[in-house]
Amino acid sequence: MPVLRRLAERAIDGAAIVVFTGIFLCVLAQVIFRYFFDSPLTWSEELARYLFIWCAFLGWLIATRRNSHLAMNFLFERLPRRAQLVVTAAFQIATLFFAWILGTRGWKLVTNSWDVENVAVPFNLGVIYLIEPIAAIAIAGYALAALAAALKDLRALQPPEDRQ
Amino acid sequence: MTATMLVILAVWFAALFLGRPIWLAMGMAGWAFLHFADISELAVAQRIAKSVDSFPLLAAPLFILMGNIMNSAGITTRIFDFAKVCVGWMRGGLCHANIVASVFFAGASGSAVADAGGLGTLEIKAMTDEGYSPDIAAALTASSATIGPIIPPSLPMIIYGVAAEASIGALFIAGVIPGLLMAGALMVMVRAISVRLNLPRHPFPGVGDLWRAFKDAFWALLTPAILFSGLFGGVFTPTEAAAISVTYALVLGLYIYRDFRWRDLPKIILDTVETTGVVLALVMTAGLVAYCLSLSQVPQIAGTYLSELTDNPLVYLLIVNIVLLVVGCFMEAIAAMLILIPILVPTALKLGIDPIQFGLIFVLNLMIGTITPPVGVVLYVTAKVAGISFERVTRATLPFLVPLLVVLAAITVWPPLTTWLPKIVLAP
Repeated sequence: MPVLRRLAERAIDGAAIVVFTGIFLCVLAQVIFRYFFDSPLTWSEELARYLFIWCAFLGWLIATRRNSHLAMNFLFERLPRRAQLVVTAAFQIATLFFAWILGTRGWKLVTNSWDVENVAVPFNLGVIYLIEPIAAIAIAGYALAALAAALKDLRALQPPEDRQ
Repeated sequence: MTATMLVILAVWFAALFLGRPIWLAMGMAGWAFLHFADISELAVAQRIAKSVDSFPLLAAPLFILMGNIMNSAGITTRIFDFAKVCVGWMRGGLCHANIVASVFFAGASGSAVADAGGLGTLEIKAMTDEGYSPDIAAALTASSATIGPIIPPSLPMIIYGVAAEASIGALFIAGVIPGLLMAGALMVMVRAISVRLNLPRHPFPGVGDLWRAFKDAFWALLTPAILFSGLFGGVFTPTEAAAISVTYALVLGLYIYRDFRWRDLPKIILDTVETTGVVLALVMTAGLVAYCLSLSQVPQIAGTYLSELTDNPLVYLLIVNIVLLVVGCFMEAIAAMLILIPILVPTALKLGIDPIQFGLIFVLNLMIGTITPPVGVVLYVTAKVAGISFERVTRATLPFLVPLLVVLAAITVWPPLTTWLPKIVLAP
């Protein structure tokens, strides 16, 4: 499991770097070709936009891993430890559910648009939506790990006589 | 369908107070609406992707990258050193330097959190080393950080421009005067406080020192100029101007200041994608909620109520200010913006309010919301950096809210403060 996780995370990081560099180069190429060579590119804007969708989801996953998504803390921090763990577990279950929605509906979107050709770039619309089910699987993976951790901490909090 | 919507809104507000993370609260509210209103749930997947399918929005990650390069290429340090030499001799010198550095840095960064976390770390350390209380250091860093998204570039303005279909270039340029006013107003406040508290000052630097610091910071200070020259006359779109600015920051770090190496780049890109993900997770799920709101005609219904309330633009702006200040206290700025834009903007346009002025009022309100409790994102960051409690920073920040509110009142009452500059600069 840890090996799988490490591999997946390296793949996410690698993809993030490639996709982001791609976006930057697309926009830069667009400026250079339009402004200096006076021959605007036809594909740069579309490609940059599609890479951006991938970038958004990859960033979402990296932020999940580094635990940096914005959260409302002011009530949560005032809860006792046990209640915090219960709330955390509940939100992880909700995350699993949302990942399931995103994954299944995203997959439907992929199959629906697999034969929709794009105007300026040589791949179909389904390829772009493919990131949704991929991201959903990763989100679910992180949520499962966080859920397991919260339940384990909750168990450790129980006084020993309740632990039958 | 409106009844369903109201139930979902209640769930959503409840989840927002405990939202861990916020995107989950919004995503679930969006799904619940579609599910109970019997609309295809395919829209969840579709809207989430659609919300970021935008070329103008692409400026956001590029500006985040630029801020990250600036912070790690020693550019921030040079900007702060120059600010210290410029205004350090005034009473409460480092307070003034804190504000002035925020203005310079604002020209290269688009987010208050980046300002508070990057430049802020430097400022708070310098101030506490010199005997300022961590309270005042953190409070001033937080309040001057709100200048960052008002002076261009600006993440909230990019998001506002995309959601409200306003010109991002015009919004950028409209932010210059209010941003400088904010700095001026904060400095007046610092002056009043520093005389009373008898805060320390630096000796007046010689012309030689001033020149040396200026020479050292010159290329860094030029960054906003690169951006502006791109926006002048609308030659480049903000997204293209962002890519050019990133290239400039890279050249600066790699070849001029040489504090930055190629092998630092992958880490910086990953940090940038991470921050982009944090922002876009909100944009995507708030986009889903906004779509549900529009399906249930909430904006139209709210619009009817609002236009029955008043037909005086000034009264309307006053109401909007109060609503946004209250909402800004309790809600994260980007989420609040995307959900309230479809509700508040149409009425403003109908009353003849300039869309650019309205945008500035909108963004400034929500930025003030980042330094007010209980949901002050920037306060959290500075409290952490200064190592004091959230409550202490909050209390110390209160006096600095006054000058910011004065500027807000000024741009509300007098439209030319925001509409004059874009008109001249962007005229063909």
